[in-house]
Amino acid sequence: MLFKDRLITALVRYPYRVMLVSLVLILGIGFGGSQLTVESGIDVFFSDEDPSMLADRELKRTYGREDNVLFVIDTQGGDIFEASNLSSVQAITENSWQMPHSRRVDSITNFLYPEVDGDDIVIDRLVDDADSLTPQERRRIKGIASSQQALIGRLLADGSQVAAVNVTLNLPEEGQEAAIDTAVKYARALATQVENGNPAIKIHLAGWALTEQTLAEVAARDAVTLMPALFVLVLVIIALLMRSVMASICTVVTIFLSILCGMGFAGWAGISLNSVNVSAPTIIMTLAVADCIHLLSVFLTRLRKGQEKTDALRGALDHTLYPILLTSITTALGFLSMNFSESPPFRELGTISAVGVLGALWVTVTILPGLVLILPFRKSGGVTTGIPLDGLANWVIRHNTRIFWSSLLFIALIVSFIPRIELNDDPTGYFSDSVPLSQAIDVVENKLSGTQSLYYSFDSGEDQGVVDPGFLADIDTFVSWLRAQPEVVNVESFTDTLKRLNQVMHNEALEWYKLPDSRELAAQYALLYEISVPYGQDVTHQMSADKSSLKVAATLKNQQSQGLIAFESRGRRWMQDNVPGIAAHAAGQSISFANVGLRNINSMLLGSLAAILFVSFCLIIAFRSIRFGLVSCIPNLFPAFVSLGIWGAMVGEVNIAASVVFSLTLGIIVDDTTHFLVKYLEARQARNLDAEEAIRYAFTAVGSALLSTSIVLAIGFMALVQSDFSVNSTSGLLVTMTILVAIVLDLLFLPTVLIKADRWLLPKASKTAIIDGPE
Amino acid sequence: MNVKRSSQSGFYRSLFVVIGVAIFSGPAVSQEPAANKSAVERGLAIALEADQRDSGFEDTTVSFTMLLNLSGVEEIRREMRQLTLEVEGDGDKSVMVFDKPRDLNGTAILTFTHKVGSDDQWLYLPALKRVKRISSADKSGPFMGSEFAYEDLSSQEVEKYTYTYLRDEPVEGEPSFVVERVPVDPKSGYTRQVTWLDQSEYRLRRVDYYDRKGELLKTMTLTGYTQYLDQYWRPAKMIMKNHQNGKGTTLIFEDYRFRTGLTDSDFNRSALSRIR
Repeated sequence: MLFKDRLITALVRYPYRVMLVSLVLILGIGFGGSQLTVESGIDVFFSDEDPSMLADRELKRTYGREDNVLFVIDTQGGDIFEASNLSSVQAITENSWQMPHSRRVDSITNFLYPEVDGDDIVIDRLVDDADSLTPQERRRIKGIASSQQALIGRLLADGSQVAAVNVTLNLPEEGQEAAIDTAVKYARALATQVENGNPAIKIHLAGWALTEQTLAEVAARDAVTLMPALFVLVLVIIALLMRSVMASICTVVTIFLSILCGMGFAGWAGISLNSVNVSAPTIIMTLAVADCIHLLSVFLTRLRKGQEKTDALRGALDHTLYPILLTSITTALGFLSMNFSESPPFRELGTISAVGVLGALWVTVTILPGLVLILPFRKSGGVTTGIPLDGLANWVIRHNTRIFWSSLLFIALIVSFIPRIELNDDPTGYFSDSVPLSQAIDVVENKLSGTQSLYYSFDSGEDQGVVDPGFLADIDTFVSWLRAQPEVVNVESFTDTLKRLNQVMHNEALEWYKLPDSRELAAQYALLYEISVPYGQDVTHQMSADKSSLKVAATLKNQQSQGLIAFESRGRRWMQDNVPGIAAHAAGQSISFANVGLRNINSMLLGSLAAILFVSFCLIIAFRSIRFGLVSCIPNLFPAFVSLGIWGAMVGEVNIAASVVFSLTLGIIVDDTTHFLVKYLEARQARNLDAEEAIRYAFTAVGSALLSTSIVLAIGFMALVQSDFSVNSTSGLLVTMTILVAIVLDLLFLPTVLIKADRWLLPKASKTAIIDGPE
Repeated sequence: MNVKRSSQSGFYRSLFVVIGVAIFSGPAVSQEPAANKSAVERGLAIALEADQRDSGFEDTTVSFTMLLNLSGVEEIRREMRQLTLEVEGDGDKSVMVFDKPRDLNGTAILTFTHKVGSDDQWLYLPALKRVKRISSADKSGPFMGSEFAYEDLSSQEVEKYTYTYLRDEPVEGEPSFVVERVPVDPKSGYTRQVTWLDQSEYRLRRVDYYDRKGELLKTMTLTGYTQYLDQYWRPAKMIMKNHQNGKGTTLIFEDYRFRTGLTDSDFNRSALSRIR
């Protein structure tokens, strides 16, 4: 350890020079932070090569974007076709044309319904002027609307209590957040205005634009409330645990500079901030805290025992430098393993955090010593630092057999709940119940429709091919199959329009409600319809411009990601068996999310496996013992499994956040294990203590610092639980649980494992200990 | 406002619509700060002058090709013909016949434009051998997958808009009037259109269409004007560019013919099925 000694000497002798040089470096990196940009929205979750993203883009290119604002008008037990209610629906419909970026508006009032009037074909809105309708006319309109398959389960609920107005937005490629913001603000004002005019109804707002807007709002709220609260909380707890305000100040500086490293790097690397990687500062902060506590707790203990400041610092560095270095490297590797994720924000989060962790190490080594020497630490003798753990150590050693087996039993029991976990990655479920969007989604799911859509683009392979009778018949068969499925609440297809036109052209004869039997007729009906429809209600969202492909939209109810994926493949199998000519994948944002969620789980499992290999490899080298490296895997692996098991037993449903919790916590858990094992080994090998004594030594040396760190970190991540954004709150809760489980296992289970496996672990050392025992 | 019989040709000329005159207000006049009223008067005068200059052609036929440009990659062709009959005292009568795609071959739309009230429209479907009168909310939706709405292509009488002269501004180096026109029909897909007419011949050179939100939706430019019968200017090309979806459509006109001897009997229901 010649290098270490020389380093420590240099650090203690020239603290200010080192500090100055280091500060310049950090500020240089930190300057990159000024180049950080912010991106929001759902697209950030997907890489550019993501197949479902590509399918979704192709869909948008051909048929236009599906981003929407959905006004849900709930009469709360009334009838939407009452005069005042229908007027409200019409008011929203007409005013929505003024919504910024609106491209089309669909509702029961502007639904285009072809009819026969004498010798004329009338293609007009179902409701022309809601205020002037007679009761008979309203009954007629209700009768027509209630029999439209295109409306029921999408814009009108069975039973006519709830209706919806769907506004499709044409968002610009650049500046989408601002575009969504203006559209949503307009929608909110319109909803309030209409609600005030008609107290009988309640208007909810849903749709993708609302989801994106809510994501942005919730993230902004987290940034201004949770983060500062968390910051203050951590500092107060440190001051209390360490009984030193100066320790808190040191920690503030370390945190600040570490975050500067991470975010500055992100700026230089051209990473944009989004709702996931914006957690990076929080993670960096908690790890900077861990480093500070390890160093400062030893420093304070020595100071309070009466040592000189420089001696106390030298001792603290000597005691902690090696384990801090070891844990920082392993933690950084753990975070880098998040790069196995297929979702870019998680990759970025991992990389920024890894840089931040190394930044924290750098700050702890180069800045903290100088800072400690500058700041006036009180030398109040007699005040003990930290949490006394001698009693616990004795209790664990005395009952080690009982603790070992009951822990093992407990772990096995908890882990058995993991299979109960169900993956659900529906962005509409990303928000807590207090968010208005969640209430709107409840109304949509329970009273009106469903929130997930599958879009099928059927390509005929030729210009004008959609009018081919065989092609249309195949689509129609599939549409019928879709409508027969219990999950499906609505199917929208141009084949319905063609059937209706055919019926109208044959004087409403019921038997003519069928597809036209020749290409020519279908093409001519399509033209008839096209030249008759108003702006914003055209067929471009259902038919490609060259008429080579048709889009069918199915709305599904109460589907989890896995259910959606299963439904999609069931549909594809059915097509292959029955209409192989048109068999196609479903696309759209719902299925994209479901797929990216599942793939994330797989790639993160791989990533975590790689992380364990890296960490174990590092520890094997560091401990120069394969067996110790292997034993360290046990306390490293179990906490994540145990907390997932608890989650499975208590909640059962996880989203995209859960898949990265393992990587997120791996570093922190390894930190606990490594600090404990380094001190245990030091006692066994350098000090020739026996297993039980070595455990007592490790408890005294690092137990208090580990417990303090865990308490601070657990509280830090608990703050995230308060987030209305469930990706943040779920990961916050899971990480908190994992940290607590980890410290409990490290202090209770790990010692018993070390005692049980002592002969296998250190055959030579134990012999030495016995021989040299009476020394 | 009723200056004269306002005759309307087919869509192209109706497109450049606009009109005529108060003869005294020539292009040279009026750089003085126009009060609001005079801007309105001047706008109408320009519209009437353009209409006046294009009247008296009696009837005309033209073939045109529609090229759809989708995101700059694919190009799709449609072929059509248009027959127009000038009508005294009311809007023109016109027939649009589809030649390609072949599924639409022979499909024909007969339109009677009216100065006041909605136009009459009949559609002949050769696959059904039936003519039906079509009554619809409005015709502002895009058709045949193009960026043109039927509304853009149908005859546009002077009376269908109110006008405001905005300013003088050159288009491709030619001094032009910029006149804003607002549709009289509340159901129109547009809140307003800004038109550019060159000062030498009162030819429509460019139209900016504004959607219901008042945002710029699309721009049409007309090029390649040729004069026929020493009086009537017709464009060879009309390009429509949609600013909101980035797509575009080009119409290419060929084989303009004037005074071909069409009569009223070529523009009625029974004539539709005979048109080939």
